[in-house]
Amino acid sequence: MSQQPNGHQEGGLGPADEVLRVRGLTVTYQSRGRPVPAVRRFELSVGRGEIVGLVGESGSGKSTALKAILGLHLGAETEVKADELVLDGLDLRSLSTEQARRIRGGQMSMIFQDPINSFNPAWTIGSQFRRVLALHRPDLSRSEYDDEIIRLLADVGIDGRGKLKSYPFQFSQGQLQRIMIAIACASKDLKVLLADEATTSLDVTIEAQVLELLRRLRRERNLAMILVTHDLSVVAEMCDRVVVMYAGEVVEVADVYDLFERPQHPYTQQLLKAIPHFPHGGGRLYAMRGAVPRLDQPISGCTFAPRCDRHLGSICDTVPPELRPTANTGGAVAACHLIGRAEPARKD
Amino acid sequence: MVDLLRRLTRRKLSLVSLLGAAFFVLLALIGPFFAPYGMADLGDEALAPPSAQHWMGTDAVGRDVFSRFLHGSRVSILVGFVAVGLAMVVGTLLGMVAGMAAGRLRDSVIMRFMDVILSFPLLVLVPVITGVIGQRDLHLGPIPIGPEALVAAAIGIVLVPLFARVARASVMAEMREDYILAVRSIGGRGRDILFRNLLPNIAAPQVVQAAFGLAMAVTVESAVSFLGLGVQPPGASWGTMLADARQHLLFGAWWLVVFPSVAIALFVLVFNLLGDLLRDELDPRAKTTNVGNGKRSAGNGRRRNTGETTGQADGKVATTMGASTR
Amino acid sequence: MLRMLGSRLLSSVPVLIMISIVAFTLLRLTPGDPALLSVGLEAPPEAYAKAREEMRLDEPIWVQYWAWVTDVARGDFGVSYSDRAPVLSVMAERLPVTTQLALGALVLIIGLGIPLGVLSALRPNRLTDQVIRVGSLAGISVPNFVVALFLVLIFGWWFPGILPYQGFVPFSEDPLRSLANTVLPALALAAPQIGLIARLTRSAMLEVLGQDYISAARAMGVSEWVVIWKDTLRNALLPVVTVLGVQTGFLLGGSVVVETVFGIPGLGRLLVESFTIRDYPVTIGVMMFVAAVFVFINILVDLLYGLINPRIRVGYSAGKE
Repeated sequence: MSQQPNGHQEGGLGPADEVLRVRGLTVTYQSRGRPVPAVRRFELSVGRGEIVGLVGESGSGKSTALKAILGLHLGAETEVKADELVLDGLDLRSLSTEQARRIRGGQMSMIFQDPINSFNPAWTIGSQFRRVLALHRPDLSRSEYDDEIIRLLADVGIDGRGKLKSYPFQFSQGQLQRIMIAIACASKDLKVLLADEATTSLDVTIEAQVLELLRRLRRERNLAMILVTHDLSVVAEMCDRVVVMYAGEVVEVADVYDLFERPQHPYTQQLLKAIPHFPHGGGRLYAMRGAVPRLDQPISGCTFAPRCDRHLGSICDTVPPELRPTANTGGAVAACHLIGRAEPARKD
Repeated sequence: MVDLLRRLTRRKLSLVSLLGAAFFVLLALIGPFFAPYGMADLGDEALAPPSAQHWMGTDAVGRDVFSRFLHGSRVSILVGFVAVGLAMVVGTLLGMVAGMAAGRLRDSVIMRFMDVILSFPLLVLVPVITGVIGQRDLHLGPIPIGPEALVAAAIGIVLVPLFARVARASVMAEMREDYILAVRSIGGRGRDILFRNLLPNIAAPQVVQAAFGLAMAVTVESAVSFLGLGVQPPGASWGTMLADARQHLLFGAWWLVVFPSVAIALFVLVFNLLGDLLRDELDPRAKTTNVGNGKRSAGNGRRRNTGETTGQADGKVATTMGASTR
Repeated sequence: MLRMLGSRLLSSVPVLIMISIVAFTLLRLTPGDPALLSVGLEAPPEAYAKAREEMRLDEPIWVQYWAWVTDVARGDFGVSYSDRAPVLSVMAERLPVTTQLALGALVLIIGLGIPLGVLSALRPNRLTDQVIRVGSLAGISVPNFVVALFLVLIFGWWFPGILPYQGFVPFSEDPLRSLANTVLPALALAAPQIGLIARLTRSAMLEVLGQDYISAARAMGVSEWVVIWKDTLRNALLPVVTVLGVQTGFLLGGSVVVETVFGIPGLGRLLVESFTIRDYPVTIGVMMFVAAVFVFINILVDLLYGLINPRIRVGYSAGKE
């Protein structure tokens, strides 16, 4: 495996470098008595120090998939199944509730979309931070907590002295998101950071700062990340590889350059076509026709078929396409009947 | 309206509560016609348990409880409706005036007055009002208004703050909306804003309050009559029947207690449920679809759906037609 | 914080004054002659005239009011028309009784209502939840005096002897019997409120559970039990406490109907009975007491709110950076 100077990795991932592996993840929740499969046959691999982007529209299931990976409670009646869910060699499905809980915030942690909503409004920042340290930093004694908090905050660029007794509403969104990141990275065992639309609600300049912070963390700690977003520019800037989701399924996986230059799945192609270019000639903007399908109805064939510009024929309406290797490198796959039928064994 | 009814009948629970409400209305309107005996007919069997001749038994002076129940239901239910009707009209008006003048003197005065009403113990306020107005036999033209009407009026006054508060809050929220600004900017007068624009758009929470108010009114009526301070004997109402029941409780005359109690409990249950369900249907926050969130535009009385209204996110359309044709 | 307290106290004075004016006026306008009721129909004309003079019934109403106000300012709430006892002592006799019932009811409301609400919220839409919700709705719908009547029926006729259903024994005299006497009335008082608190707790908890910071706490690896207990419940209890405050106000004012059914000499009965015999000093005394209780409880709840909700406490202007 060769390492490019800017951190991108080429080629498939060997097992030693694979820090997170998900196969066959399915999340089904109940709505008005009917099962709704929000995520189907989801798969994802993340290498050490790799940033994987998970993109899709609202309702594509990306946040649900992320939460299911972390093992977050998704609702009393929600069913989560997976063929494989392995974190650095540890099978997450075989863990007891208590063991799974220790993973959260320890080896794998998550930051959320709206920073102000990620904190309990009635607690001070200090007390919320302290709780995390108590859970995940057994190396520290209680008296050392506050000093460590100041240090961790300084790491993310916040001067925490005298602010530990402040409440979340006294900070700006950008500061809160950085504090959130500090809390999520407090554990020394952290291997994977999950970010669910972490910069979506931030101003562009703040977003840039936060993204820079994430890049620095990846460099310094060889931290792997999964960034869920619907903003392709964030993907272009940050990610090494991209997983594209549509209506609860993975439709394409590729290296970031390949994705933008040689998208294989019609959905990805149409998505990229829809981005307006600047300068713009004044012609009509491309818009995808149709709408995302309802997940509570059974879907036959390819989920994207009704909106696809490259619809093949009845096969697209009857047979759901499997993820097949594409012409792109590095284990890229796409779920489309257009991809060549000849299948060499996939390097897993 | 029809659309609302249709939505309500779809779910089992709301259908049941609607039917329940309809049942009580029917009971009030035509119940007494089914009474086998007169309300005050003295029979020979006192304190008899339910039987074939007396479905609900007899009371201490031999009156048929079932007949009294039918008459009493009418009284209690009508008192409830009249009280709520009165309270809704007066309260909504006061609340809207206060809301439109939010923060200014008029608002403070009205709301303080509401606070004063609210601070009074109900069971003193109602008899006081009844007493002050006087227990005379009034006549509205040829129609005699009995003392029950006074009780209804008194309860209505007590319920006014309920509607006033909700109306005021709704109005204060609506005043910030763009369509009010639009009406003002072309010279719409206060009266126009009040009746043509605000009223249709705040009607929904008022109807919800009305349902809860009905439940409250009937409870108050029965409590007040129970104490002898409302409907007076030998008049029948759920409250007076309970007062009778109390005297004879220790003789095991359970039939005197059970029927009015069940009636009150069911009535309150049905209307509380209805209020809850109406609130779920009419509260925009609870909506997950964006079709038909129930906002009406005045002027021609037709409902405008969100989908048909361009540029308005929630379908409110400012009405100025009325203002300009005056 | 103190400033808020001060301003609230200050603004409550005009409300109390208005209440007293309205109460006073309404009572004087009510038909019925207190002097007559006081001396009785058989009394000689001189006694009647003397009574009228004592009660200042022939003077203009604002004179009567002013006399009352100045008396109250000195702490003198006047004397009962019926038995000449000072109003304050008449009230003081009844207050502990009502308070005891109120406390008993509160214990039941908090002890049953909140846990039921929490249970309901933790298993939303499952059987437990449905049962609790329907039960709560049914409970709210039955007025407390109807519950009281049923309790008397059950414990007085069907299963007599288990619990006393009439009368009252002060705590100081016989604690055990006093408590036994409190059970049924407290149950009647609490019944409709338990359902209300259960529903409120349920909806408040569901709302908090849906917040992102709960997910965030779980994502940090906090155990579910702690999440429910420390993160959710504390935040969810805020609206519940507000309603509990209002309920306490009502309970302290006494429920005349429940007290009537159980034969309890409480404040509620005092209020209505004194009104019935036109014993105005007592009536106004009790009304003012109840109003004052409400005002204070409102202020207390606001204070509590400020304590729990840091936004109010620290103030918005504490500096955003």
